[in-house]
Amino acid sequence: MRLEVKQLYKNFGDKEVLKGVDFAVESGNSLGLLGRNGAGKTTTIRIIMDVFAADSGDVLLDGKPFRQGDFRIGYMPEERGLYPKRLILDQLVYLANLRGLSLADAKANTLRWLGRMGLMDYLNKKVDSLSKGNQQKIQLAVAMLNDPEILILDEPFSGLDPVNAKLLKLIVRETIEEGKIVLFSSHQMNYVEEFCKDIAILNQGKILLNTDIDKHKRSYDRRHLVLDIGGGANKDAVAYLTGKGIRAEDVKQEVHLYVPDVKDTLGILSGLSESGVPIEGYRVFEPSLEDVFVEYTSETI
Amino acid sequence: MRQFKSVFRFELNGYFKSKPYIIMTVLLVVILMVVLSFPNIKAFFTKEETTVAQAPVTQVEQLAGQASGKDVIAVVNGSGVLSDEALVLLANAMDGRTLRLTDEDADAVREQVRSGGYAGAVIVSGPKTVTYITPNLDLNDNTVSTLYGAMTAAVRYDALAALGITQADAMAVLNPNVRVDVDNLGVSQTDTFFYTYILLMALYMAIVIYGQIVATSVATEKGSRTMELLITSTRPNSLLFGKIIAAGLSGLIQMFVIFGSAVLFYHLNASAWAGNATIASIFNMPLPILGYVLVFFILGFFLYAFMFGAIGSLVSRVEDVSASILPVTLLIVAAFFVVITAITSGNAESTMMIVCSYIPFTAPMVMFARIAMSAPAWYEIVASIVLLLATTAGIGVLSASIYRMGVLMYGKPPKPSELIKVIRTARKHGAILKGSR
Repeated sequence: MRLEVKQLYKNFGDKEVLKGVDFAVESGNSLGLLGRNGAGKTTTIRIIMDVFAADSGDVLLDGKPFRQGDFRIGYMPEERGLYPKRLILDQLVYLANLRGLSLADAKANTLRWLGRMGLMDYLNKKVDSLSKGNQQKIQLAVAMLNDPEILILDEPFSGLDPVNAKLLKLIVRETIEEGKIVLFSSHQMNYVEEFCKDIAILNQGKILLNTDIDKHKRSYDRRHLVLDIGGGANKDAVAYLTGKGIRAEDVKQEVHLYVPDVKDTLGILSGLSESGVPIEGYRVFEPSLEDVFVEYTSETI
Repeated sequence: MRQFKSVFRFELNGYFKSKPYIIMTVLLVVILMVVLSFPNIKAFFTKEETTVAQAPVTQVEQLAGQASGKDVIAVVNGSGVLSDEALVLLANAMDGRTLRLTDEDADAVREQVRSGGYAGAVIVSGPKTVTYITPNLDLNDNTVSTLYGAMTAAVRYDALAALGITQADAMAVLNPNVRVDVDNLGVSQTDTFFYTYILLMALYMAIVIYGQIVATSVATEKGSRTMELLITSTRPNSLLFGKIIAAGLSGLIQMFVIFGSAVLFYHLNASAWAGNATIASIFNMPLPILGYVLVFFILGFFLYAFMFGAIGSLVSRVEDVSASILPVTLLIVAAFFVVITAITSGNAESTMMIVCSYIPFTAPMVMFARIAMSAPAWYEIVASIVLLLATTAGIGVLSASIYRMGVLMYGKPPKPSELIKVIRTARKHGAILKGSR
């Protein structure tokens, strides 16, 4: 399956929120929709979920208009919330039931997912008696209840502690491995980087970058190297390299250098090593996702 | 339909498990039980008192011979203002009270009343002046009016006697015993008043309370942000109608339990209530009236619940609900006011009532009151119900549109002009929705 949005436009009053958003995500893959606050992430997701309609543009599944009712969709809205005064078991069964499961299946899945989340003790508790982190886990359970073919998570990591974030990552990764479509929005780059193959950077209603994250990183200049120098000899290394006519800088206890040609890399490094500077490690510079994100979105601050 | 059933089941379950619903129902049933068993409860706690019917007084000597006591009212016939016969007449007219003719003077009697020697005293100081001395004037003490009647009769009697009319003739003139027979061709409003009043009250309370519950319930889903999960998996109409029908049914069940328990407790205590015309008139209400209550409750409830549901979808927080539903609540209050004024003044067929019985917002209560307390023609009833039905359907469609857009609007409740815009876009979006589902 391939979920695709094409040229989405949406205005709220005079405010243009989406100005032609395109991206696609396929089965067995996940797409991280990245963007700063107000970039249009939630609006895009709500249009996909048919919370409201786009002014123009299409949401397609395998090339045909996407009809939500025809698929099992797991959805975690940005606005989290459940009935504060109803028992957790009751409302999870209800929500699963509304998403098309029979009552028996709804109950079985509720028990299975609450067990997975370690929340079996709270079955007959009310939501407002739960801690915030546990409420978040319940929300994730709700999204997973109907064994979704398409999982759409809006800012799933907000409010999760590292342990719960790990659980969420595990579940998302399993879902991807099962060949499902996962689409989520976030501005927490470190999490996205860990399991997202594709990203789409959304800024001010436009997609600035839609790419395979590893390929994109490799597209950066391979002549930019980073050295890890032992014994506090960074200055010596910079001095040696500059002496050889190579641009080098000491940045955060690492030495960044720009070799003229990739073929020269090993020669330069062995020369440096022979000069008595202890090289403990080296790698080709790759920007973190955060660097990429800032690079693409900061000029519009 | 499957989704509607899920919503309906979940909502109904919510009512049956909710503490306020259970407590309210149980409380009302207990109150009814206590009230309807009251004569028996009272009899259980008070000593068996054999009330011996008082033999009528025939001789004035009987009055003088009465022992003084706590239940006795002293009579001071100062300088023989009333004749002996008039005193006997007075004594018999003061039904249930024992009179003792005494020679003590007014001050001494007053002291006796104060110290509890007499229950009260009547000082006849002149042919047309009587003073009633009582330690406390109870709210329910009707001695003064009884005394007024009795004294009037006694004075008239003496006056007639002074004109030379015999005792028997005087009695015949004073108590002619006229009989009035009633041949009622319509509904007796004295018989219908109490049950109409009670049913109107129930109708009013049920519509207001359950309407507000619908508004609050929608606003809670919105305020707690459960709405986005619901709206992305469920048709708005299923959500709204499931919710409203569940509220209506739980209201009906509550009324059924409460009225059913009233009937049960009445029949359990039937012997104690024998002879109480008011209570009997309530429990002997004709069955068709109950049918009409059902019809008007269902229609009235839906009409208002749709409006309440739509309003609930427009507010962002539960706290704003009561302020926002005020205009609609006032509409019901106005209808209730019209109908209560009309039936208490006994004028169920006033122009106001007739007009209001066709206005759908007031029709549920007003038409019901007309049916219960007078006899509108069948075509009038049908016309009122048809109008109500059509309006309810129209408001239902409109509410569903508002609800669809309203549930995801946050911020200030919209102004009326914005509301119209919302409804228009809702229509437009409704068309899109049909295509996509």
